[in-house]
Amino acid sequence: MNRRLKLPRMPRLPILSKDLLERASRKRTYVIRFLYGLALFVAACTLFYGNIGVSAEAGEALGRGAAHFRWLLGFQLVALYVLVPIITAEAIAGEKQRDTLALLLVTTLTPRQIILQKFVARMASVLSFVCLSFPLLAITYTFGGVTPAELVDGMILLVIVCLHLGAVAIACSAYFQTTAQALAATYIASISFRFCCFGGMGSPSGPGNVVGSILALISIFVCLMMAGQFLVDRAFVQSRNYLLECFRALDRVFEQMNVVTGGVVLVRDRGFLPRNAPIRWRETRKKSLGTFRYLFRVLALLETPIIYYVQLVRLTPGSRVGDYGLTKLLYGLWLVAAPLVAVHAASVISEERSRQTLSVLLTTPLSSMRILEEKLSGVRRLSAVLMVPFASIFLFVLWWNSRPSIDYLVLSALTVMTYLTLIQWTSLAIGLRFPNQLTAIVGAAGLLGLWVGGLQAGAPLLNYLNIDARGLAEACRALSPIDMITRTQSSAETGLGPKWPSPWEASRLATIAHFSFYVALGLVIQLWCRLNADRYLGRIPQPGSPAIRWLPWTSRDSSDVVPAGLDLNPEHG
Amino acid sequence: MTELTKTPVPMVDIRNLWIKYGSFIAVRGISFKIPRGEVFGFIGPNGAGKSSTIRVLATLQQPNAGYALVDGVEVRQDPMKIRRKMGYMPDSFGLYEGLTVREYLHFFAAAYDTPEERRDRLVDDVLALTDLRFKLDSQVDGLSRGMKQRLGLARVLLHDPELLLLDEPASGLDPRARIEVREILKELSRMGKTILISSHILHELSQLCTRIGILEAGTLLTEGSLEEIYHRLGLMQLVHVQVVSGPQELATHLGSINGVESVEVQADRLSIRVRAELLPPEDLLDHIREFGARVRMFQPEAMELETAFMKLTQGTTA
Repeated sequence: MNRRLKLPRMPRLPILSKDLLERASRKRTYVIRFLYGLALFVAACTLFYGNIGVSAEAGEALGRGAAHFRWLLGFQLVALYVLVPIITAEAIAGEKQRDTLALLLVTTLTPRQIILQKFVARMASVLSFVCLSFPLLAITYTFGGVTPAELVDGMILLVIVCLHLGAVAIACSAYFQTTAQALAATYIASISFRFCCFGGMGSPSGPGNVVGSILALISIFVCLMMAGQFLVDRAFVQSRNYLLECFRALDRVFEQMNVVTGGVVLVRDRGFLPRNAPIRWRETRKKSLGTFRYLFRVLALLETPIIYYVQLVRLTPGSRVGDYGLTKLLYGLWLVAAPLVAVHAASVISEERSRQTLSVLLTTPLSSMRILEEKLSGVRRLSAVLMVPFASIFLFVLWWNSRPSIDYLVLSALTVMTYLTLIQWTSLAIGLRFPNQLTAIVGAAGLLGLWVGGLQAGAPLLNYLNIDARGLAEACRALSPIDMITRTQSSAETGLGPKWPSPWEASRLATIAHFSFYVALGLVIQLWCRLNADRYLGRIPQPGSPAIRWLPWTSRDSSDVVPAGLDLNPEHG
Repeated sequence: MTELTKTPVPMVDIRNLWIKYGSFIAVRGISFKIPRGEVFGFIGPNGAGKSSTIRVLATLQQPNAGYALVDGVEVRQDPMKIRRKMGYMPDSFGLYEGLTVREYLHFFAAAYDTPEERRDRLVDDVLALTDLRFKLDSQVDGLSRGMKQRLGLARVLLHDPELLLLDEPASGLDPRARIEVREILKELSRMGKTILISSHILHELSQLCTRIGILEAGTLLTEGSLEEIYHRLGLMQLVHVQVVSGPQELATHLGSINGVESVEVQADRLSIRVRAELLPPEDLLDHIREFGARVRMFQPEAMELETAFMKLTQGTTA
């Protein structure tokens, strides 16, 4: 009896295999993994040897393990919260955008199998990022101060957070029709979950967070079940603009409430057709973040807390809550305004590309510079509206001060105008350069974070590393926008201790250099956008345009120049 | 005298056109001309280079070598002038969300700098031509695929271009919508527009186009009228004939006529293969009548573009 041993058959996993192969064949998979690993290892080395130096005695490092461990865990968690949604939100929404989801649904695979295979494929990629930190976590153990249980808990926490974020992203991806919507929803859902379930349970690096971990595990199961349901129910639902729908729902509410005013409408947007600037018309009358009536609501939303804190400061002079609240509001306003402008400006061109409407627009006789100018009109309107709450804070602080300071007002106004304009043009340049909306938004937001965070962290990092590069540290500090905003705000006397000198009072030269640098940088980027508009929009440049006259390298092909020998005159037949 | 001898400038003149994407060569030195008022069908498998060629003419793609002239103007010499002469409809018709049909057409009328006082009339005219008047205040993103395609055609016509570049206008449409689009194109052809149309639906192109270009792997395999292509390929035309009596004798007689390649006697008819350039169907009918046969049915089969396409192409891509 020669009975052959029967091994259990491996289940067929076509989507998993396809996704893994696809990701493995992309160069960017390895580039991103390398860059992530590099950042992690550089950060860890900085952490391990920063204060003590590489050649320090072993004894000096002993006992520092717990702090290093918490810091590394925190770094990884923040990185996961940023990266996992970017990697996973595309999983199903991408199939919908490419019109390939129907092909998957007509196979014999069940929705749950599709979801699970998509989930595992993305998690395989993300977990490789997590694994990169395991040797570093192990090194923290050797420094002492970390128990083996804490080490294991930390690793498990990273994996659970990773799976939780991936499951939320998969559910959002199955629900929404575009990757950008799925990405935004994933960030909102995961951060809300973080605050609701982990918020009151210590720092994000708390490895013993059992309740939070159990909730996260339940959320993974619930999200994957929901994703399976959404996959079928929402496979062929028309794409919707949720922001616009939200504003329109508010329109209906206000129209009903308008009985009180007898039907008086202050801002009427409808009933207009484009006149001479069609793109501007669309950007400012048909887009949710360009239309005046909707922007007015955004303004009202931003102004409400400012008015509250202004009243608090007035009614309770010297109150720390009011003064600190106003300053925190200013920083909060920057946190809202800068990304909002960046995302909007990065989307104006990339959105047209994603919606496949750009090529038609480019065959009209509108010049590329005019297209860019008109496209930016909505962003400019948004920036103008965002300047109002900034102005409210600045003017109140100026009025409230016992000693009015024009320096403060001028510097504050300059920070808002210079930085917002710079963000606007930089993001537009990124939108011009990148092929799709999601990449452009992530690129613009990433650059913004790198610019602000890099310059702010530059000087302390050099100091921490004991690197004697005073010039570089000074340059970082002088160019740091956060530093400029903080020092300007601190210069206003608000009843919170001694008044700091304003940047202008501290060093006029440094202040002039700071703003000159950013104004010049803004102008250079603006010029680059204008000169390269034809090339990056994707059309043949008009001879005699500045791009051809000033930048001969923009048209490299020899065929760009019609040889003299060829008679192209139609009159000569 | 000089005026009389001058050759008319073709609406499209492509000379030795090369298009590359990095190391990939999409179009390899193709040349052809489209005279004014012609409907030129561009046929080829996916990746043949049709869309790339159309994108060059639409001033969206820089050629790597060679020339592409529209009404005598090279695309790199004055692209803005070409944009005013040409209307381009891409294969993917992305439409702006949140706009009505009226707003969409006014948007493009403004983009073409059409005087404001003329826009209402113009929009009404193009909607009448494309039979979309009843959708004037409908949301663009709520239209069916066929209607979106018709709206795309209406948009293309707003500035009354002399040349229409239509990239796969019938793809993804149901039979009814396809017929509607074809009828609009026939109407435009009657209006004297020059049309360059790429399509996979060969049967439709053969009904619509006056000239055909077959492209494969970036190379233009052949170009000309359907008859010319048939002649070049040595393809036969099949004519079905039913006579009241004596089919055998008629078959023997027809077999001796110059231009008749073969005559097959079938149960109810004669299937005659002829060289159309030597013996047009009407001459064949005269021969049959001269022979004294009483004709019950005379049915020349339409020349099949599929035959020419299959004979010329090998299914390769660039």
